[in-house]
Amino acid sequence: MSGGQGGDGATGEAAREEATGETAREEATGDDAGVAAAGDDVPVDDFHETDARPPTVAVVASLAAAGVAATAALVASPVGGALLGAAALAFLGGSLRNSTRVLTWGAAVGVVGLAVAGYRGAPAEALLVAVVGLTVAWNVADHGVGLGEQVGRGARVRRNVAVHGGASLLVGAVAAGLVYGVSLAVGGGQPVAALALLLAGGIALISALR
Amino acid sequence: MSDSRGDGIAAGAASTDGDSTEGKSADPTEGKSGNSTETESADAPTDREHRREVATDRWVGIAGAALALVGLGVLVRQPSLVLAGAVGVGYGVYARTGEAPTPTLAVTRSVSDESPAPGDEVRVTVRAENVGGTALPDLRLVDGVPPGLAVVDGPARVATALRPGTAVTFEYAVRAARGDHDWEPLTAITRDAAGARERTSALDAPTAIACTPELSAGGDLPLRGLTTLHHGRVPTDVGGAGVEFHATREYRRGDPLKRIDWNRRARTGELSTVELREERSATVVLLVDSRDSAYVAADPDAETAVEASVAAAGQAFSALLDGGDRVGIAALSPLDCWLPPGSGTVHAARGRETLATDPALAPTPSDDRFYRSLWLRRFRRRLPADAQVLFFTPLVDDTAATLARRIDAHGHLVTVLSPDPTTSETVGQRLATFERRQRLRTLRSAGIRAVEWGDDSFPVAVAAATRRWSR
Amino acid sequence: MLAVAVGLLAALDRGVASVISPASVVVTLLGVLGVVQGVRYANARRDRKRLPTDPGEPERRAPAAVPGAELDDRIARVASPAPGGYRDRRDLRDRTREVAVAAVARDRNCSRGAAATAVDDGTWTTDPVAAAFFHKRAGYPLRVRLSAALRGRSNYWYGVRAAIDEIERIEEGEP
Repeated sequence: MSGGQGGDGATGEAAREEATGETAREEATGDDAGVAAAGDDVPVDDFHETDARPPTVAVVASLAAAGVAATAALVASPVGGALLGAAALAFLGGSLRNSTRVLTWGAAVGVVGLAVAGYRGAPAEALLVAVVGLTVAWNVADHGVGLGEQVGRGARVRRNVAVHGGASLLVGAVAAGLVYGVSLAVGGGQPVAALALLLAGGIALISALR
Repeated sequence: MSDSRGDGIAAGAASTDGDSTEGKSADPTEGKSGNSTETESADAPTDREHRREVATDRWVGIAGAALALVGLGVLVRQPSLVLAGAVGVGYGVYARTGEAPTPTLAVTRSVSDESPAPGDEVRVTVRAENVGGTALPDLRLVDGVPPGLAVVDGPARVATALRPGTAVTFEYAVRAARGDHDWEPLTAITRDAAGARERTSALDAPTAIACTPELSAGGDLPLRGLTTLHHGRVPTDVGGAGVEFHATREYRRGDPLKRIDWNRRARTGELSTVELREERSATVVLLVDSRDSAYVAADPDAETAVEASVAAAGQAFSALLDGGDRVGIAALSPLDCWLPPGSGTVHAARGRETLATDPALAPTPSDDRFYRSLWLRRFRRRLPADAQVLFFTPLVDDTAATLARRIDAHGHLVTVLSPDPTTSETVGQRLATFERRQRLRTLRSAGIRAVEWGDDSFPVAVAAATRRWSR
Repeated sequence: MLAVAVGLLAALDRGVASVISPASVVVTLLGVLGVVQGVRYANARRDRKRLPTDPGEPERRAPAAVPGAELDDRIARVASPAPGGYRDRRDLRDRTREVAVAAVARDRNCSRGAAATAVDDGTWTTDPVAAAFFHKRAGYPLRVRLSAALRGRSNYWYGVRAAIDEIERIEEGEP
């Protein structure tokens, strides 16, 4: 039901969504008229397959979040920011190609970007924004690909994407606020001991979770 | 955390009305955004059948990535990396806490027209209300459109989130096609908020439409040539339907309008019916091949040969009835379908109904197995001794040709009327085309008349064939 | 995995002690371990095959079969030079032969027996590939064998195509 294959930037995508939204409706009414006039036997072009590309709203939201992450990382380290920018491009590419694999690679590049930015001494605030932004960006893009497969691009999905993206943003904000608060609270004490304890706790937790 | 999407959370997590997302621009689907409307209705939940529940594996590896960041942070003595990693651990926990909710939905489906004409667009509105006690943060609904119908406007799907008591409505349009069409259950896919687990359920909200095509006035179909060749219309001294004037009598209910003596009515005001010299009418059985193998077409999206056969049988049915013949209907199908030969307006209506909605002639094939010899035995037992058979079949396998010859051998005049579903793009398709052509030739050389029609219409093909035969 | 956790906790005990005197070698080791384990765990994603529910395409009308689609499937199965598919090969050859015999009988106005002989001994056609398809002994021309070997196809695949082409020529040649 929608227009041509998307191949370029996010704003183009958004603009196209709006454009096709309008034209699709007009075409539909045109169809009706055609049917009425043409009578029974003429097969008017039937709906053939669902457009399985991810919904535009998910792609745009993902890019916005990735953009925030890249900007935050850029503050501390150009290389880290560039890697997060590459992650954003991978999210776009993975969305356009319906490939969760590409999205995963994008996320991996983004994590490396975070590591580089952190290694270069990025302030905790910037890094926390970047990590939440990266996770939300990947999450929404991956969610979008899944939505594309199951309900397609033509269906109404905005509320679904908003709830999903909003929930993951909320979780990230709470987690970041929590660890930031803890780090402030123990900040005056023994940083190395605190870190080692955190890590040990983390390894134990993750081993238990697996 | 002060990006522009702070409002997004609030809207996403808490608001009830609709599609407010990242404030990019005006929502083009504003008019449709009655996405969820709060209602008080206490509908009973729709019967639910569990299909599958799986982990989506979306978040696999997030904890590992988080751990690596923390480890690196410790290694290089950068607390900020450890904090970033800790947030990742938070997401890992988030991904593990959810459980795909069980959808307790009250589903109603309404159609704009329950008995549309073929080709009509029927609007279908589906409304699903969350009547359970749990919120559904991620709900995807895919409607079970009947396999014989094509959706012509919009996907029959929606994705949304429903708090208890809220509902979602979506709409689409199907193009009506001949037959009884029953909706299949609505598929509901629910995920937890993180999208880590997924549950698929089927919700059965029975809906049906029946599309019964009008029988076309078959006057222009030159079938008399087909049926009179062997059983010539013998003029009799019995008054009734025919061509030649016999007598007039008092009008009786049910007499065809065209046999009312309108001149006399104008003169005297009395209704009287013209009796025509009755000809011996032929008894014809229209046999439609609707085995699984007959649901073929030159293109996967084109009308099947069964549709073409049924449409042609409809034309033949009314043409023969108009001509005064007694006509019956049978299907070469695993399902039983038999309308004994008859005539009159009631019979015409029954014939129309049979052709439109008999399960044996359904728009999609039956799953049952077809037993040839059983079928033939039953068919022969029912077939009146003097009946001729018009056999509508695409002739894509040898069984159809064999049956035509067997019925012919039992002394019934068989005429094979074959819609051509073949195409010749690939090697296999060309081989199938040659084989079908060969079957037609073999039938003809065995003295069975066969008419095929493809791009030209059925009446044109029959006209050409009858000209050929009468030469 | 639990063993790892226990080991780490043990390491932590000693680590806590050594941390206070900042002999941070243990901390560094802990960090390395964290990175290695983390990357290992993250790698688990690589061989996960995700299988979300596929709701199919109910919007589309149930697609009709195209006559010959099943034959094409069989031809695709015997297109590779690997041995096997004997039944498919024989069935396809029999059905093609049936059509070829009928076409030749009609074209030459001869009996079916004579046509069958012509098809079997290869005199029904001037195309050596089509001839070889039905012939008991004559092999395929070298050109076809080479091409088949290069393109990873079976000779049979070339044969059936050539035979169908030839039958079409005969059919088209009819008035």
